[in-house]
Amino acid sequence: MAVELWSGLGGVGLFAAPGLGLTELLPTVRRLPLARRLAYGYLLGMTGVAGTLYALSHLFGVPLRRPAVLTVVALPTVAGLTLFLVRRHRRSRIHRIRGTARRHGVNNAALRAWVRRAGGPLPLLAAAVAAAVGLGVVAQTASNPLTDWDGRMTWCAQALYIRHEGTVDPAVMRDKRWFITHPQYPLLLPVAQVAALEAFAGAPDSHLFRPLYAAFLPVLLLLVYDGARSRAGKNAAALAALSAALVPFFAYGEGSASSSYSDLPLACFFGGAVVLLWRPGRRRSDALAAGVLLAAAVLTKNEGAPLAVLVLALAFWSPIRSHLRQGGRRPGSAAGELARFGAAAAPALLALALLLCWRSGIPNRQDENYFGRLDWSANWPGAVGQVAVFGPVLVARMFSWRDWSAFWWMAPAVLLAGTRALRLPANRRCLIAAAGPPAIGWAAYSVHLDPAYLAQVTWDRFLLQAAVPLLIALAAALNEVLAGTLGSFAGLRPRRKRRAGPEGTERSG
Amino acid sequence: MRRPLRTWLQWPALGLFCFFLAAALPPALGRAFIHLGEVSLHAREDPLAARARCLGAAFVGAVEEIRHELGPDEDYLLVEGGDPRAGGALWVRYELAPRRAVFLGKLGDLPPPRRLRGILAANLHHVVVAYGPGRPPVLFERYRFMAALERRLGR
Repeated sequence: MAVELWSGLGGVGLFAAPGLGLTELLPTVRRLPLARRLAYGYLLGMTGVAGTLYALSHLFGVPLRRPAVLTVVALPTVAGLTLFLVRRHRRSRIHRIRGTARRHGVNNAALRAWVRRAGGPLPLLAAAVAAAVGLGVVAQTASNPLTDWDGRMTWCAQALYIRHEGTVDPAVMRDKRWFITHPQYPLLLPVAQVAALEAFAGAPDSHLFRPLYAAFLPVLLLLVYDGARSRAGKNAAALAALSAALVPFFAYGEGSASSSYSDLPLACFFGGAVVLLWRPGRRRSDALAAGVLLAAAVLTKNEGAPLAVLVLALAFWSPIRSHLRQGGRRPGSAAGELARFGAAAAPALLALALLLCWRSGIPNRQDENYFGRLDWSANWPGAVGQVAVFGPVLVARMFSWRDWSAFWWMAPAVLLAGTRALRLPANRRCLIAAAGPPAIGWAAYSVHLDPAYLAQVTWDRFLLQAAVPLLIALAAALNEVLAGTLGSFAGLRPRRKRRAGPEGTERSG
Repeated sequence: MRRPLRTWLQWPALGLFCFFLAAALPPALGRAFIHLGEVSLHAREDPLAARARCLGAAFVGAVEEIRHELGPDEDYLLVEGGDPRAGGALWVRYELAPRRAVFLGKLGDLPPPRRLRGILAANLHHVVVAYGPGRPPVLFERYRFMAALERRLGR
């Protein structure tokens, strides 16, 4: 078990190290504190390594074996380390020239600066609780083998077949007589699993890949904190992240960090793209990083492609429309927006092309085939009529104390009480983005033959996919509530727009 | 001066938020510490022992025997002997992967042996019957399985 634990943590490092290398290329992410930078690094590393292996295996027949894995990991890691060292060397030269070299006592100053940057006692306390919950989940995954439903039915079974044949196109998928469920599901996470197992020479029975999934929980919490901080302040952002850490479903539900489903990774890729695209400053490098995360979403689950379209539409519809309304009076700005759109959309389109190309060789079977059932003329009454069947199930799932504790007692009340904050365009867009995954679930229930059963086993996971934008909106509303109630004696003020960005996004404080 | 409804809602909303924290914090931390304790408890366990602890010794024992019988590369025929919604065939397929399976369906719904012979792949010599979570799967030689089916359903 100790071997599983250390190899599992090594597996997390296998993606975090190249991811940190990739963050060296992104000015805004590079300047973040280490924890938040690691969160983006893990997502970018997972996308870079597993996505590259996916493409290399399918398009060029590169075997998914240790040499390929280590090469793909080493390239961005070494490049990032080199960039880091060059930048550090330059900085120290500038310090020497200006005569501001660090002297004795700098450690204390650095510690004080670190505590200040951590945001004070409340964020630190929230971070401590979240760390304890996260460590508990990692411990659970390292101590126990896989026992969840979809992990064994689809994701990890696929990983075993891929690893055995060393390709993302194994015969078991291409030949339709073999029994395999959801053979056309995207394979980013199974490929990541194979990479970790190959790198650490894991036995076929090894569960060393499980911490890879557990690591997505702290990533989700850090994304919520990072996204909410500029809109709601450090305290409300920390409380929103703490809420996510305390929801039992996020840590231990069927589809959570302690399972091997792709829903939590999808929530992180989707949420990470939302945060990066709506970051103040509207940099092209942020848009490119968001596009990479959208590409990962496309390669993670079927829902990824429609969610990528939703994020791109929400991020670019408003600025492009306003430029069109101005009649091209500011052509430079319009070109900038278009370039950002291109940077965000191109990786997602490439991923979609790869997915479609890979799927074309795999006959579908053992699958719900929702698109085959979509016949608007026959199904439109279902979208309304079936609500009576699956609606009560949705409510029952959300108020399940075991899975959600009192989260759905609290969240609607806070959102309602903080509606003024939600009128800001950026927060409103967060709410719309959060509605995306549940809307996909709703559409599936409307055409499914047994909607109550499907809702019973999937609704929580659609809510999980929406977690990052939902919790950012919750943080904004919570800040309004805190300012309206405790503000007078806690020194809190509702955060208002000080200087509106191009889309009314608040400049970070 | 009239205060908008929203400001009256803020105190109950704050109360509910505090209630959520108070209700969710102790079990979340408690569960985390239990799992952290598990690390030292199971530190010397190998993957086989961990599987036996979590999936049942009888189930894991039967799976190990079937793996040994089939060898590393032999593919097989799979039959669901229990309730399909319990996932028995799926779990057995996962445990036996990367050996490939041809799924014949539910034991009670199998066609008569003569028709079944016509659709079976010639090179698969073993049939595995899964019965559901925790219940050990059973391995048959294919001809024995067909003979038993004939006895039950006739030709």
